[in-house]
Amino acid sequence: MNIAILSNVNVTHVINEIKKIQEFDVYTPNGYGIWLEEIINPFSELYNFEPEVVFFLLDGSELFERLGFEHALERLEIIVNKAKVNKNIHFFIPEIDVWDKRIIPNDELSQGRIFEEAWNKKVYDSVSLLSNIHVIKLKSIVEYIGRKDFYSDKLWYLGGIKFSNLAVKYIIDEIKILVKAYKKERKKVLIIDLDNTLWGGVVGEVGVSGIELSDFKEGRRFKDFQNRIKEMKETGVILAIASKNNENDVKEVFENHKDMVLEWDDIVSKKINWENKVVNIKQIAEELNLGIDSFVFIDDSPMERELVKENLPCEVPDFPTDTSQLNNFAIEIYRKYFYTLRITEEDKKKTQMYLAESKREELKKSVKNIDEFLESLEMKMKIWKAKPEDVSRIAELTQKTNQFNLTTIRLTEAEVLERMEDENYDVYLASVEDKFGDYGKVLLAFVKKNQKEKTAEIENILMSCRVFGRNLELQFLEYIQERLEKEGIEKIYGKYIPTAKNKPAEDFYERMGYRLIDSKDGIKTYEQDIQNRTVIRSYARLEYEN
Amino acid sequence: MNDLSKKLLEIAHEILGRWVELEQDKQEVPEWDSFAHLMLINRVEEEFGIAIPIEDTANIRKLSDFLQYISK
Repeated sequence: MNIAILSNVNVTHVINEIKKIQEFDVYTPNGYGIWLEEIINPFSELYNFEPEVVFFLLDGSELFERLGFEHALERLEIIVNKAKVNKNIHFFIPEIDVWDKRIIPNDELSQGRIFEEAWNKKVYDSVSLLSNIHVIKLKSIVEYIGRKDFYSDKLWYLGGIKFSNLAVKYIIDEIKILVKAYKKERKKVLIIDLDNTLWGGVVGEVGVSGIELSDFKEGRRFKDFQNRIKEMKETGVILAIASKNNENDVKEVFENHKDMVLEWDDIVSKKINWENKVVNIKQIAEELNLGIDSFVFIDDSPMERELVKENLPCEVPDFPTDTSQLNNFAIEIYRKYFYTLRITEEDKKKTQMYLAESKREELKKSVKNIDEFLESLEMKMKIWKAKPEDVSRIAELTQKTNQFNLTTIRLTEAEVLERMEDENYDVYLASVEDKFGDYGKVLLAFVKKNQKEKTAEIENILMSCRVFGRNLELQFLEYIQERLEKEGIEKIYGKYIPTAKNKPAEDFYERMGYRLIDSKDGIKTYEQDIQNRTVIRSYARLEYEN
Repeated sequence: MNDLSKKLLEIAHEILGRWVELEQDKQEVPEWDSFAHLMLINRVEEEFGIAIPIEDTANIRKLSDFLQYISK
């Protein structure tokens, strides 16, 4: 991966350390005075290098002292403007620290402090405007290890180096975490034990009122820990419980203990029994349909941890022996396994979606056949022609959908927009909900029309795997056919291009009653006379929106 | 060899990417350039919680020269 480092001070020691990390190809300009030129000049070595990410390790004090308030902020403006035109490069801009050492009266606010706040505010403002701007929190590192250890006067006066070797260690860790988050390599599920983990004591022995969990003193460490776990959940981490306990005791804690932070419905899967935890974790994986290698398991018992570690590919961090560190432990877990740059709409709804899915599974087991199941879901499908605000979701669907994807044409947001603006193209989108919850926008079709010939070609049609097996794809295309018929189209063509993963879509056109007219290298072409099309059984109530 | 000297050798190895002797002059070690020299001083300061006066930094020519500051 190509990564570039730009700085206004000498960061040779940072570069040397980053170069030791195998996965990185590192670029940095010769000399630290030219970081801005590298950004401004479109023909610079920097752009020539085609970095995927650029880290700005700017020293706030030096920025401010050398350039002054206005000029330094202008530099930030320039970076943001360059981010606007270089959408494929991700810019990590620092939240800076300014150590204003000038001598001023006690009661006067330092200019450095004002500058620092102005800069940092602007950084976060630009983050909300551009999806390729992120923050590297240098200021947070300074706050954590302290200015006296972060900076070295000696290195500065002798070598133009601001950051100490200790600071470099933290900066490198931060860069690694940020790159991992940028690549979305986060784990998915956090499995937690209960007794002596979420609260102090064994609830089966001391009862609900006897456990340690409170707003103050000893019980507070568990409450803080729960707060952090709840916050992780809000970022899209799925929570599960694996605990040797009586479910009734546990339920009572969740329902009646006034200091419980986590709620019963925050936990997607609960294995509260006397079964081996390895078995329980395997079951959780099966229920959620997720790989165990995306799990992190937290338990205070070294024996349980050892057992899980030996038998399953999930992450098993050591539990702190000093539980006053629980709060920091949770933060560490988040940084190490779940760190995320931003949360998506989907992240916010994740727990809800998985809860709804487990209710569907229950329903499925209780009905006689699949027909009855589909009827009882009370599905609603809303179909509309794509609008500008749908663009990012549409691009995402074309990029991420592998299974039900007829031609696997991947599109960027710009290419999606092109099609939406082309009058020969129709882009249809559908969202689905049932009585258990909302699936969001899950079906998509690109239709290319030829009004003169009265024909239309389905360039691609795709569906998220969340709604497999509901017959929705048939109903979706049937609606599009109806629309095309009204517009005077007489013939429709469709194509299936096989990939390693899109087998589930292979017989789609056959199920729609299309005629195979050509088959070459696995690529199948179909046609349909719109007048004589097959009747489709519908399970979802349709809503159209123009 | 005492623990202090051992620690010094390890730090030097980490920064220079090779092993050097306590009494080896930096002139004989091509990796020991002016940048490595600064890193060495900063690392020794951090590791042992000491401060070496900036005036003295040019006089340090071999690892054993650090010992006078550390053992003080």
